Order: sequence, then C-alpha cells, then structure tokens
Amino acid sequence: MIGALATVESVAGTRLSEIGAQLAMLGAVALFVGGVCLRLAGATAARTILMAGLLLFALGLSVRSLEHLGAFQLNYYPGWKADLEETFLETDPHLEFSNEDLEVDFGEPAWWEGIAWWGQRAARLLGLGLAVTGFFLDGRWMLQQGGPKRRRAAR
Amino acid sequence: MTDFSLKATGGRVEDILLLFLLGALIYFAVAYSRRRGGRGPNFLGWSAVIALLIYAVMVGAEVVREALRASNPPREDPDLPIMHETWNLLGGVTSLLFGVALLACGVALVYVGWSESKTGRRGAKQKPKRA
Repeated sequence: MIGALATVESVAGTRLSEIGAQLAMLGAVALFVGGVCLRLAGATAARTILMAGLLLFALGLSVRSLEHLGAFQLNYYPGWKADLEETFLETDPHLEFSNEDLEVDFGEPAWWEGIAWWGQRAARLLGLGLAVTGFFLDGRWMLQQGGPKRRRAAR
Repeated sequence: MTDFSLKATGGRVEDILLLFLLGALIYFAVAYSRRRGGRGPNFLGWSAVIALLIYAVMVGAEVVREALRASNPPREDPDLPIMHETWNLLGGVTSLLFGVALLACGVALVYVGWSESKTGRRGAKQKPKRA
C-alpha cells in the first residue's frame, strides 16, 4: 500500500512539475507582453533592450517547456555520435555485427535539431543577459526621475 | 565526479542569470514604486521576491543533488527517512510554485506597462495652456 501511494506521489510530482513548466512558459510570455507595453509607453534604449531580452527568453523557455511537456522530442545532444560509438564499439570491441545490424539506421538527428538544441540555450542566456541589463537601466532611470514630490518641485 | 561539460556549465550559468533577472526585477519594481510615490515594493516586487526565493531553493536543491552524486559512494538522496518519491513530489510542488510566481511577475509587469502607457497617453493629451 505504501509502495502504491509512493508511486502515486511520484506521478503527482511529475504532473505538478508539468503544470509548473506550463505556468512558467505563460509567465515568460506575460513578461514579454509587459516589456512590449513598457516599450510602447516610452521608446528608450533601455526598454528596447529589455523587450528584446524578454522576447529571446520567452522563446527559449517556450521551446524548453514544450520539450519538457513532450510536445516534441529532440534527437540531439552534444557528443551523441561519440556516445553511440562508445556504446556500440568500445563497450565490447569483439562484438561482431551482422549485415542486418549494419543496415539499421540509428536515427541521425535532422539538421534543425542541433540548431534547436543550441538555439534555445543561446536564446535563454542572451535573453536573460539583455533583460537584466534592461531592467537595471530602466530602474536607474526611474530612480533618477525621483518621486512625484521631487518632479513637482523641479517644475 | 562533477560534470563540467558545456551543457552542465551552461545550465548553471542560466540558473545564476535567472536569479539575477529576478533581482533586477525587484530593483525595477522598487524604482517604479518610488517614482509613483510609494515606499515599499509593489505587487510586482513582492511576486519577484517570492519567485527569487523559490528559485534559490530549487538551485540549492540542485547543488545538494550534484554534491551527493559526486560523493563517494555516489548517492541519489540524502540520508534522511524520506522516500525518493517524496523528494520528487516536493520538487514538483516547488516547480509549480515557481511557475505561479513567474506568471504573477508577468501579469504584474503587464499592468506596470499598461499603467505607464496610460500615463504617457495622458501626458500626450494635455493641451498647451492659452496665454
């Protein structure tokens, strides 16, 4: 019974993690929409950087979340070929393959899968860097503007 | 042994940058609040603080996990009377809470952007006073 409950808990954890990934994806998209609203309110360089960063972050996180949710599967990771050779050749050097085995296609990744794998990571890293810079610059600009009292006194 | 591959290192850098993003969001929220005449952080600031704390817990858990895997002999869970499934469930709950907090940050930023654009439009609508 405890084992059965444990299995149920584990499934529940996976399900909660999936819902969390969906919410995080929506959150990243909402952050981008917020960045667009800010950019439309005032076309400053900081807000342009912020909007571009949040767009890249939202794109990268969406691809990761969709992969996590099983919407698609990337048949690629760095060093996949070396791993394949190690598994099939170096594990047992005396292993002999029949002609039928050699005809089996191990599923070489499509040209876009490597781009998607590296692209989503690059987009998230670059996007996060740009968004941090944008938030910091815009926040500093707002602090320099001062509160309503200071603006009224300046007038 | 600790994994220092490009994939693992990139993941760690990404985690740190996400913590920096949430920190920058708190700074932005405080600056926005001061500009509007408030004293403390607003809804955006508080949701960013909660998201930052939750993500820090998640990063901390990942650090502990890597340390356990790198220990001799390698282990998957700490020596506590808690089952692996329970850790998995806790991870799921934390992930869900982080998703909710990030969504709250996003919605709050949309409100801030909308509010800013409304203020901008109001400013644009003001007609020059006649002499």
